[in-house]
Amino acid sequence: MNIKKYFKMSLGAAMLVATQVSCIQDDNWDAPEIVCNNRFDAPTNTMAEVIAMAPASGTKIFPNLPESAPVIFDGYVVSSDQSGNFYKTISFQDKPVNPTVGLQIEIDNSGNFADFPVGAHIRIKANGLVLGKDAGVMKLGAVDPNFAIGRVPRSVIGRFMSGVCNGNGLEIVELVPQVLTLDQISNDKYINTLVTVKDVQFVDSEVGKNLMDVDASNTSIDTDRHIENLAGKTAVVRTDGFFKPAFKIPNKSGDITFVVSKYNNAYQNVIRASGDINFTKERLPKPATVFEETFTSNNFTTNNWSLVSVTGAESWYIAAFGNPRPCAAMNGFNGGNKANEDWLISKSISLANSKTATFSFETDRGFAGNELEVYVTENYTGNVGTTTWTKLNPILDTTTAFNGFVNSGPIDFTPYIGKNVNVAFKYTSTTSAAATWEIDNVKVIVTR
Amino acid sequence: MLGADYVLGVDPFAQSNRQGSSGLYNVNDTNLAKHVGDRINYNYILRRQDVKVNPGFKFSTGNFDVFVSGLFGYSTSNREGLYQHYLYPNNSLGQSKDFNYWNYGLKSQIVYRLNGRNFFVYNGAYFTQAPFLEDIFINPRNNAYSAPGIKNAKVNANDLSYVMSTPRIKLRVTGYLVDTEDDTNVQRFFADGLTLATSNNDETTASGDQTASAFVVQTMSNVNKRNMGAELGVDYKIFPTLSFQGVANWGDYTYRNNPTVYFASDVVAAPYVDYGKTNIKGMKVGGTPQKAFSAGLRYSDPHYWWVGASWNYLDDNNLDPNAITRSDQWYTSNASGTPITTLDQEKIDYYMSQKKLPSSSFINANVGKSWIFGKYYLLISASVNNILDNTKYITGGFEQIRNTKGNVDFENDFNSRTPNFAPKYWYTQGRSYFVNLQVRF
Repeated sequence: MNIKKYFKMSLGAAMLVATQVSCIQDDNWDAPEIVCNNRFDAPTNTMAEVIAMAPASGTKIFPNLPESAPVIFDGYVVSSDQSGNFYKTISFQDKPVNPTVGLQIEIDNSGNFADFPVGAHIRIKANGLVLGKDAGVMKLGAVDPNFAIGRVPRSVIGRFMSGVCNGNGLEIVELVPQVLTLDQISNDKYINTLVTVKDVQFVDSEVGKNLMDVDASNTSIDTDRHIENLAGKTAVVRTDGFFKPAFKIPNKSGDITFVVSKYNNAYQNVIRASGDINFTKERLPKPATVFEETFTSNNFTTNNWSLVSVTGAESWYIAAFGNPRPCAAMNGFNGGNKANEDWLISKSISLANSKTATFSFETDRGFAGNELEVYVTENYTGNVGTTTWTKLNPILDTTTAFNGFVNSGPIDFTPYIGKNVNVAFKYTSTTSAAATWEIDNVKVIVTR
Repeated sequence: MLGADYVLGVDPFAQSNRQGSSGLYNVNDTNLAKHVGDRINYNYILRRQDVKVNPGFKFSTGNFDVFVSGLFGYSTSNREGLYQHYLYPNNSLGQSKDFNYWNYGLKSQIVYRLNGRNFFVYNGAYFTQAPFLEDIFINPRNNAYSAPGIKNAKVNANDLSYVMSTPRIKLRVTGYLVDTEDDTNVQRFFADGLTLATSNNDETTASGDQTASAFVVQTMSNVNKRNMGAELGVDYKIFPTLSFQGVANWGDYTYRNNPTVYFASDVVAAPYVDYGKTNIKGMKVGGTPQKAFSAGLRYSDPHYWWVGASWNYLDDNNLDPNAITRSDQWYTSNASGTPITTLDQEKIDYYMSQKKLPSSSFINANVGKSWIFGKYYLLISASVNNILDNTKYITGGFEQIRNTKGNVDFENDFNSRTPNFAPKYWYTQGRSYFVNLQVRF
């Protein structure tokens, strides 16, 4: 029958259509591949070159006319406002490792860590911006009639600043902070660069306090805290009142990483987050002076110095000079240059129960002649000739005109910890030249 | 007037639109006190003239019935602004240029009769369609700027059906393919975080800050879409009194290109901003279930009453993708110009992928009886729709576009249990009853 035939045929057709349709992939949308395009052309200058364009005083505006040559340079972000420091400012340095210069840009935006996280490789087109020193710090910002360096408005940040692509995303590199000492960091060349200082602690009076103080209404305020090293050198750690989370200063020592900064003449250092304070070690040992000789008693007997004259008639004496007066001195000139070998040997100094030990002294020299030699021994026999001496290599006065005492610098006595040592100053002169060497402030300091 | 004597004819958002601007809706009208009966805010005339000629002819030869119809059309549109707007002094007052479109097309139907009960029907059409007036002028209240790249849409529609009609079975199988090209899509909404250069001045000054949150007009030009699918309809008499009805539609309605997105806003100095392409190629056109099935039985008693019930299943309904969330700009930070660091390919896939709406099924039933009293015909029928009271089915909705960047704020809101800018949905009505009384005479 015809009907049945066509019914079969139509069913067949319907099934064919159904199988055809079910072969069509139902979800054929693919997420777009992330694409990263650099907003600016390649750098025209290094960051150091751009900073060098700043005038000695006042500011420089980079012209932004159609014919103006582009001024483009790269940097690496070292700051982060995620925890509340670095309000409306981004600090960056020229290289991720061993930077030579740092700079900051003032922008009227907060939450910058999202776009420009630590380590972000950024590119700045300076045309239209102003560069100069403001409150002691080299800054880049917007032209602003009310301020030397204004904040770049949020909506136009993109005209001057961008990330640099690496593949399909912002390049974010691992920064290697420069490891410096507290004596080194307070230097303009480190401003706005990332620095790590090892083996420091907050001063005793600040342990247990929050990083920020509070005002009368219990609101946190910008606060300076102080870190110190073993030698007692200090530096300021400044924290914004909006810093979070609350961080209690630990009763520990360790390493701290921060961005060096300055406000007018005062150097201050700013952490990015509390994780920059990596204090896990015991507090720094308290130094103890186990030997100190200033010669103020005007003799060699108070500390039982041994004066050994091997050659020559002249010998060590107490001189009416010093830092402060008096001091020990030796001079081989006596109506003419005389040949001398004279030893000034300390009593036995105990370095028992110590963790570290350093030896230091100061010298002042007059006239040409042999260098003073400095030795240490852990088994003084009472005879300079039979004793095994270890020669030290201290900093000595190099001038020949009595123009001030020079510190030897800390001489590491760690190898002698737990032992008893004698230190010795060996003076020599010849018939052709005899210098005068003055010695003062001989110290052995240990930490326990 | 809420008790006031007059209102001030000045844009209250003038300072945020452009600092130092006058805010006058009509800079030529210095009489700012507007009383009852006065015009404020905007005043314009849109004009459109359409002429269409539609000649057709029909002929039969052998087993073929052929119908062919041509289409010729011309439309001209313009805007006449009666106010000179403070933000658009050069492009608001007076008559705009004419937007003229020539349209042509061809429509045909071919029926091939296998025999009296089996035939094939082909419908085909190719025509161009002038843009709608509301799409030509992107911000007609204030200016006469037109959407960039606007042009005639081209529609190419084809379907082929096999139809069988016998006393016991009626059947129709159709395959269809409709391509639309160069369509224009205009949306208006409030957006946060757009990169909208607020001035053409390249000099920065600290006082020039502007918020980049604004009411914007989003235009997608040259949108290509394809609707294709197959339909099956069956009406089969199991017994003379009992029949089965089945309907199925298997559709696939998709976007076929990545159109360019443009924005216009009162806070932008330029007429519009090119926002780059949006990655919607391959996404489904939203707003309608693309797979639908229905099966029902109907008992028709010789004593002029019937009862019927049907099961209906709707699937593959999707939210129409919003253009911004799928744009390359969406994952690019305004400040750094590089992809937002908190996003990765996996997250982009997750946030950009289309929101599929849940499938659902409904059961409907109806009953009726008719009488004839002399020359009066009386019909009472009743139906219950959605008997299972399924109120979970989403009939439609739209993705809200508020945060135009895939930053942490977006992620927090998107992943929140109570998002502020989640898609808006419309849900189906619950169980509903209808009673129908019909009298014919």
